[in-house]
Amino acid sequence: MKVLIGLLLAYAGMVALCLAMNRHYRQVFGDFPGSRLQLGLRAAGTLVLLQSLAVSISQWGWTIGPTACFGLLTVAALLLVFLLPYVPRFVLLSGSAGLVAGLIGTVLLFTV
Amino acid sequence: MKNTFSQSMAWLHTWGGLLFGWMLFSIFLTGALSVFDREISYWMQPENGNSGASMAEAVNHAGDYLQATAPDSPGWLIVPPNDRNPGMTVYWQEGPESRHKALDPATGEEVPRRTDGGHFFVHYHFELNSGVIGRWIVGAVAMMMLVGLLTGIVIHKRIFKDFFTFRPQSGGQRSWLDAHNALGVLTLPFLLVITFSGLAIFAFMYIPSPVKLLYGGDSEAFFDEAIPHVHRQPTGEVSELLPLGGFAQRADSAFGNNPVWYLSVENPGDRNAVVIAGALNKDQLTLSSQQILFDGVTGKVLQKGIPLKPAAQIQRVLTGLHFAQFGGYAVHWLYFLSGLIGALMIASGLVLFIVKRRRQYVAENDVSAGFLHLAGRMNVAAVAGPVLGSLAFLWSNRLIPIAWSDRAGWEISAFFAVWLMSLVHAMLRPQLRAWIEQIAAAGGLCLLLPLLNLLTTDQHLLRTLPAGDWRLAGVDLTVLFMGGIFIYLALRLAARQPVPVKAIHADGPWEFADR
Repeated sequence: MKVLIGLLLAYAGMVALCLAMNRHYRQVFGDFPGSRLQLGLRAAGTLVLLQSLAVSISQWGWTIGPTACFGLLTVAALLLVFLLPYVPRFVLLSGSAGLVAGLIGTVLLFTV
Repeated sequence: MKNTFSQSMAWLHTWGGLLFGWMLFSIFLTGALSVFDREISYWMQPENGNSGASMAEAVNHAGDYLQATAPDSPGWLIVPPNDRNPGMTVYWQEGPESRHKALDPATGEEVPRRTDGGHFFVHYHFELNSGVIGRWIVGAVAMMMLVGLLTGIVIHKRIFKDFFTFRPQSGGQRSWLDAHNALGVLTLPFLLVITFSGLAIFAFMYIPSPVKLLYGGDSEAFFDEAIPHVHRQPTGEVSELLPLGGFAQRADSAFGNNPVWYLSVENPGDRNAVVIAGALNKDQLTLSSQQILFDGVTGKVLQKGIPLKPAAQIQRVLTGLHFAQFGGYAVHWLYFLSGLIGALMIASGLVLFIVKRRRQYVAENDVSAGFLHLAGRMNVAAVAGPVLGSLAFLWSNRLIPIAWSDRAGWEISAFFAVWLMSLVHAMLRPQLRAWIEQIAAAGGLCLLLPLLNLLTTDQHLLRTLPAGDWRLAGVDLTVLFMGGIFIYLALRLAARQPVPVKAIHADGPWEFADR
């Protein structure tokens, strides 16, 4: 379960970092992001990726966790790269859904 | 053409990548399959699933078998059943050769369906199944992979700008370059680690001079210092070995959550016999740092754990990162996927070589039309060939009669024979047709394999799925999934109209402008 949450967060974080770039923001929304939005997306993406790392560490510990986290980031980013040109709107949708599910999952993990 | 630094890097990347890529694809493919070597071994000897023997019983049977078969051998090794493969394998030294047999854990008799199982993929990926020479070749190829990665980083230049970029609508060279870059950049941590650690495992073989210089070539003295452990010489005095199952049990309870990986015996039958039990570490990167050494005759513990020095510890961690025995199935799947993605990155590079040059005027090309023709065909054989060969290996396991004496050898022959057929086919057919036909053939072999399994064994999907044996079902389901992808690919390629050569030339040279 933690693995899935880690993957969802990795994906959501990558989507945010991707949308922070002019070229890809335009692919999804048709125009360019404002500089404040861009900064926000970048910060959010970084934070969510760090959260994914934290989930990996809680699953596997300090040595295996970061190693496995690289694997999750790779799979998430490749999924994104090969979905983006074909279904740009779906990337936005799945990224948001992944973020919500990942956040709820993390909260449940550390409270229940 | 090689005036600047990045131009020479590009030249090295292009030519090293092409010539060594033909071999690298098969190494990455079989390396990825090696992640699941135990499950594949189980799938190739499904009869082992019914045994249900305890580990101590199984190890006792193994000890009896070795005592009867190789009493004078200087060393035995037993890999008992574990939660990933209920089968058992014994190895022993016979002169300069290492021999092995798969034993039924319940009876200790040889398993009739003789096969190398998933081990074949492991052996192919680090020594091309051909011993020391193969190991040297793989070392050279891996070195070139490292060079390819580093030169790739140098010539890419836009790693972060193009981090998420893939433009399939651009078509041709642009799309292939995007795909090659994305596959390479996003798996870069894995690719660097797996290539470097692969080389580090055999560092003492590839770079022997330090040991020669500092230890006068006495590699045993070096290893004794690097991995300090009790070492006993045989006395020549005959003494009976205690039952090995007892050692396995004691080690198992000492290792806690980590299962016993292997049990090895030095000087069996001698008064100085040593039994070594190693754990399979699931909770740390280091490969097997937990070891217990017993006196084989008295049962006394001689040594517990190995006090590794920092350098040896680092080498062990690198080895562990390569073997990927930690972290359970989630990590195994990540390694498997990353390995396949690495293979795809290599394949896309090979295709890119052709796509880039096919669209240029012949006179502007750095290669002759004849070489381009040959390279295109080599690509088909280098990519589709090992895929077809691996499938043939699995097919032959079910098709070769169990009674055949050298059936394990025939399975391996099937792998290489089908690969050779792929090469011949690629040479004879037009290039696009060769791709379509071989990918379709791989798709057919994939989709029909579970059916063949159903017809020839009783451990097929209709049984393994309800029973929840995911180790066996996983092999069938993965192959089915791959088959779906291959058929989709073949249909996509077949739907594409091959552009007549003349029309391409009328278009003029391919423009490099970045859109």
